[in-house]
Amino acid sequence: MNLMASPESLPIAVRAYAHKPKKHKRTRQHGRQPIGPSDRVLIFDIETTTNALQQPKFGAYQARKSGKLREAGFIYDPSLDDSELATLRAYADAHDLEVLTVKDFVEGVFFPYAYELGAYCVGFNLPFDLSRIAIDHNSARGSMRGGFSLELSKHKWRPRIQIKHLNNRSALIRFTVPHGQRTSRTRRKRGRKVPARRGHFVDVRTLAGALLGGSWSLERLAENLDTEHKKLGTEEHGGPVTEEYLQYATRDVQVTWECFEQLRKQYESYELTETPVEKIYSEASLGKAYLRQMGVRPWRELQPNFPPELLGIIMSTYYGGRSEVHIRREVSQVLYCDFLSMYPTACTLMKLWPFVIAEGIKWRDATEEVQRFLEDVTLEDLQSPETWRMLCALVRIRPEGDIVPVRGHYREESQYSIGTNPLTHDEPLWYTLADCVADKLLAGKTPKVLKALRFEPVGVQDDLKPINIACNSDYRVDPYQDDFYKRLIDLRSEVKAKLKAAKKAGDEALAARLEAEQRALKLCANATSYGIFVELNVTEQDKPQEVTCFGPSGQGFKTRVRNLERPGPYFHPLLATLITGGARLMLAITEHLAEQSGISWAFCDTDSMALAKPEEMDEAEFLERAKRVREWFTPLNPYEHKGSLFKLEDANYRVEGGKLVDQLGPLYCLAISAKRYALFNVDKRGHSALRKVSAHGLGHLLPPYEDKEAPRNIPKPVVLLSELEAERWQHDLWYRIVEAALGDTPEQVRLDDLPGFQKPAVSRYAATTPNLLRWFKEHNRDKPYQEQVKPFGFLLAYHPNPLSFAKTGSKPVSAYDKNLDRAVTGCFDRQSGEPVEPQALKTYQEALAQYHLHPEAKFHNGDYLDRGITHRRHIVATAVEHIGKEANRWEEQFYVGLDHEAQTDYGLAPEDSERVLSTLRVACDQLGQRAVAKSVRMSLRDVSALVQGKRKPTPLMLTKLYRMVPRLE
Amino acid sequence: MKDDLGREIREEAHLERLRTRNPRCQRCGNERHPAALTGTAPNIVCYECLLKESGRSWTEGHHPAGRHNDPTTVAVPSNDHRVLSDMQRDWPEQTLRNPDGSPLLAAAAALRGWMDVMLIIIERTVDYIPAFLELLDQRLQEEWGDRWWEELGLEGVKP
Repeated sequence: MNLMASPESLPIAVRAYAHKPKKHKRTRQHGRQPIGPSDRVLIFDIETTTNALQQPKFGAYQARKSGKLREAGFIYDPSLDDSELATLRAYADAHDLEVLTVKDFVEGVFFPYAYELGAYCVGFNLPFDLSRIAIDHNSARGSMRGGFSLELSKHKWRPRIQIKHLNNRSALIRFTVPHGQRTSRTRRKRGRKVPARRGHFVDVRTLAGALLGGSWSLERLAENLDTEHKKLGTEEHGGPVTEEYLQYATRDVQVTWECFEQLRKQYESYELTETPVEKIYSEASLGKAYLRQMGVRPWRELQPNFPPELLGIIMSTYYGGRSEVHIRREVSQVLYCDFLSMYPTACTLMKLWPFVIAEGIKWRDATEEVQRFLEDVTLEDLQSPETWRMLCALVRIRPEGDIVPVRGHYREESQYSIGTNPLTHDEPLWYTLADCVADKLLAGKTPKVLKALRFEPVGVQDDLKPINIACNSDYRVDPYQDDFYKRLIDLRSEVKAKLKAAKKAGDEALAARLEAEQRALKLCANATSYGIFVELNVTEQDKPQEVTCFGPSGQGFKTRVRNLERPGPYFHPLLATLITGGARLMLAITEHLAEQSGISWAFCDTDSMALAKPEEMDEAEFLERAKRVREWFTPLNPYEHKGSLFKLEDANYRVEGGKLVDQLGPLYCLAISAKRYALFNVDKRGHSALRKVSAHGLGHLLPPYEDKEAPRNIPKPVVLLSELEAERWQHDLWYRIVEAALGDTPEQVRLDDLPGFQKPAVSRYAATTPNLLRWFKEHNRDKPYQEQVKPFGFLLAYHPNPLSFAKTGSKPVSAYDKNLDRAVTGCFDRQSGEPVEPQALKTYQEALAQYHLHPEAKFHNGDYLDRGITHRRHIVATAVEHIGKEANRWEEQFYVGLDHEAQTDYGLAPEDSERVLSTLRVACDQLGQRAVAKSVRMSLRDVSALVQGKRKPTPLMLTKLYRMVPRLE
Repeated sequence: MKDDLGREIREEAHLERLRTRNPRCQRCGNERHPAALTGTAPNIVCYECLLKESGRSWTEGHHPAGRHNDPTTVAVPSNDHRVLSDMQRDWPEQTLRNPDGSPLLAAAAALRGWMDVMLIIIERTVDYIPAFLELLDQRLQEEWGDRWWEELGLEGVKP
C-alpha cells in the first residue's frame, strides 16, 4: 500500500535530444583505410618508483614477429645509479638481453615497431607505461579533446601519442600525424594519399575486460587463461634493482604477451573480421562488432532524416533502471530474486529484434487504440506475450498523481535521481506505454491519453549474414530466421546445462570450454540488447556551441552548451527507452503482485527485487506466497527452457562447508538506500553471515587494511569475496552495520576498533584527464619534467574534516605514495595550494560514520534517522529541465566530487523560462529583491535586471532560479 | 636483426603505399617484392606490365655500384631494377653516396652491387629448388616407403 503524501513542488528533468547540424566534411577518398597491423608485436612494461613522482626506473620489452621473439631487453632511466645499472647489465648479459636507455628504446625500438612497422603495441595498463616514457605532455585537441598528447621524441617527424581516457578500463590511444609529407606529389595529384599511421595499441586489461567481462589484474588473468608462464610476486616494487626484481619485470612482459596472444586468438575465433581487435574497448564494442558482422546497418544511417522533434520526444521518455528501497534500515526476512536476462528478455517479449534489422521505423497516431488498451489491460493480460508486443508505443499524458519515473534533485541533492513517484504537472509529458501500464497497476487508475504514437519496423535489411557465436557452428544465429536475443538466451541455457553435466562428470577441459562459451553468449546478449542503443559520447568544446534542443514539447529551442553529445553508431533511443520501460514494468508487476499477495518487498535494483516477509507471517506461508509471485511470470517465458522468469538467486540457498546446498535457508536484508544493501543469514546465536553486500559508496576508498589484518572478532566471510561482490574490509564494515541493526543500537555502529579506521580516508585515482592533472599545476610549477606529477600517475584525494577547516570547500589532495602515512604529509589544498595537516582530514571512521544512515531522498521516511517503510513523494513539477547524459564523466565525479559542468544542461523550454521569471517577479513583489537574491544565491543586480526585463537570463541563471522555484513559491 | 629492420620498414611503407598486405600484379600475378609494384589495391600492376602496356621497353638501366660510385649501367628487367635499387638502401650510407670518391668504398659498392644481383639470380633460379625437393621426397616416401630410392633402384644417385 502506498500512502499518498501531500504534494510538494519540485522541478523535474527529462533527457533531451540536442541537434547540431554537422559541418560539411570532405568525403574520404576511396581506399584510404589503413592496411591494418603487421605480424609484429611490441610488448613493454615500465617499473617505477612508488613515491609521489612514479618515475620510471627500468622496464622490459619484447619485440616479436609472427609470434617468434626477435628482440628482448631492458629499458632503463639514466637516473638509475651505477650499482643498479651494473646489476641490470649483468643480468642482461647472462640472459642475452639488450640494454637501452628510455631514449634509445623510444628511437630504436618503439617508433620503428609501433609506428613504422605497424606492430601491435601491447601493454597492461598501457596509458600508464606510455606516459612513463614520454618527455612532455599537453592537452590533446580535436576529437581527442579531454585527453593527453604525449611527446616521446624531440624529432619533428616523430608523431606524438594521444590518449583519451574513456573509463577505468579503457582509453583511446593513437599516434598524431607528424610533420612531413608521406605521399609523393604524383600520388597526391592522383588522389592516392597514403593514410596516416595511427598505430595499433592494445591494452590487455581492456581486451580482457571486453572478452571476459569484469576487471582483471595481470595475475588473475594469467591464471584464468592458464598461460604457460604465471606472473611472479615481488615485494620489491620501486625498490632497488635486484636480480629477482629484473626477473619479475621480464616475466611480466612474457605473461602480458601470452595473455594478449590467447585473447587475440579467442577474438579471432569469433570471426568478427569487420572489427579489428584494437577497436574492442568494452563489451559494447563486442556487441557492435557482432551486429556489424551480421551486416546490420545502423538505423541512423538508414533513416537519417528522422525528425529531431520526434527524437526529442523519444529521449524524454528515457529513464534508466529502477533502483529503490522500500523497507529502510530494518532487518526483514526476504526472498531475493532476479529476472532472467532482463534486457534481452524485454527485447524478446516486445519483439524488438525486427526493429534492429529493419530498414527504418514508421509511426502513426494511435491515441484511441492506446487509450482503449490502457482501459482494458489487466494483470492477467500481461501474462500473455501477445500483450507485450503491443507495448511499442509512446504516450502523452498530463500527469495527475500518476505514478511514473520522476527525475529530479530530491531534497536539493546535488545529483539527479529517479524515483517512481506520483507526479502532477500542468503540461503534458511523454512516457512509454509500459510506464503507463505500470502507472495503472501502481496508482490504480488509468492515465488519460492525450496522444499516442505507435512504432513499427519497416522492411528488413538486405544482405544480412548468419554468424556463429564463439565460432561454433552449433551456435549459429540467423538474423532472418531467429529472434537474435531469444536464440542467444536459449543457446546459453543449453550450454549451461551441458556445463553442469560436465562439472558433475569431472570433465574439466570440457567444462572450461563450455564456461568460455556461455560467457561469450552472455556478453553478446547483454552487449547487443541495450547500452549501444543509447550510446552518447560527450565531447567537451573549447567554447559553448549553439544546439537546438528537442524535448517533450516536440518543439526545438536554441541553447548553448559546452558538452556536445554525439550519438554512437547504433544509437536507437526508441529501443533503449522501450527496453528500460519494459524492465520497469516487470518490477511494477512484481511489486503489485507482492502487495496483492499480502507480502512486501525490501528493495529493487534494475532486474531484481527482494520480496519481504511481513513480521507476523509464517515463513512457510511467505515462501508459498512468494512462489506464487514467481510463478506468475512462467507463462511469459519466451525461451525453450521453461520455468519462471523471476529466478531465485544463490543467496537464498544454504551454505554448508563453504558450498551451496540445494536447500533454501532464511535470508535477511538490511537496505539503506538505492543500491546500498546487505543480504545475510542469521545463525543460532543471532550473528550474521553476509551473503551479498553492496560496495556502493565504498568503492572509491582505498582499503584501510589488508585482508590478513582483518579483525579477529569479525568472522570470515562464509562465501568467497567474489561471490559477496565486496572486499574484505567492506564485508567487515557491513558486518558491523548489520550487527548493530540486529542489536539494540542500529544507529551506533562500532568502527573505532577496525584497523586503519583512525587514519585519513583516502581515495586513489589516476590523473586521467588534463583537468585532473591541473590540480597539480602549483605542485609541478618550476620543476623539471621528470620530477612532475605526470599524466596517468596516481593521485590521492582526502576528505576535509569540516570541523577543522575555517574555509569550507577545501579539496585536499596529495601525490601518490605507496606508503600512505608518508603521502599524507605532502597533502595540500588543490585550490589554494596551502598545505593541509593530517588532523584536518576525515578518518575512515569519520567518513563512514553515516554510511548506514545514508538518506533515500526520493521517498518520504528516507531521512537519516528514518526507518521502516518508505513512501512515495507526490511531486508537483514546477518546471521541466532538459538535460543530457547523466553519467557523463561519472568516474571523475565519483572520485573528485560533483562537477556541475560535467552534467549537460540544455535549460528550460521557453514557456517554462517565462513561468520561472513570473514566479521571480511575484516573489520580489512580496519579499523584496534583496531577500529573493539572497534566497536564490544570485547578485541583487542580476535579480533586479531580470525583474525589470533589462537583461535576458542566461541558461545558468535560469537553472539556478528554477531549482529555487519551490523555495520562492 | 637490426639490419633487417630498415628493410622491413621500407617494405611496410611499400605495403602502405599499395594499401594491402597481400599485393599482387593484376596482370601477371607477380607478388615477389612490393617495391616492384605500383597502383593501389585492388588495381595493382608491376612495373614491367605497366611499361609493356604503354608500349615502352620493359628493361631499365641499373647502376650496380650506385650512381655515385660508377656511371656504368646494365640493362635489367624493370621489376628487378626496383628491387635492386631498394636493396642498395641497405648499404652503409657512406658506401652508397661516397661523397669523397674513396676508391675503396667504390670497390665495396661494386662488390655489394654484384652480390645483390647474384642474390636475385640465385633467388630467381634456384630458390624454389630446396622446397621442391623436400616436397618430392615426402611424396615419394608416401608412395614407395621411407627408403624409396632402394625401391626404385636409385641407390647410386645419392650425393
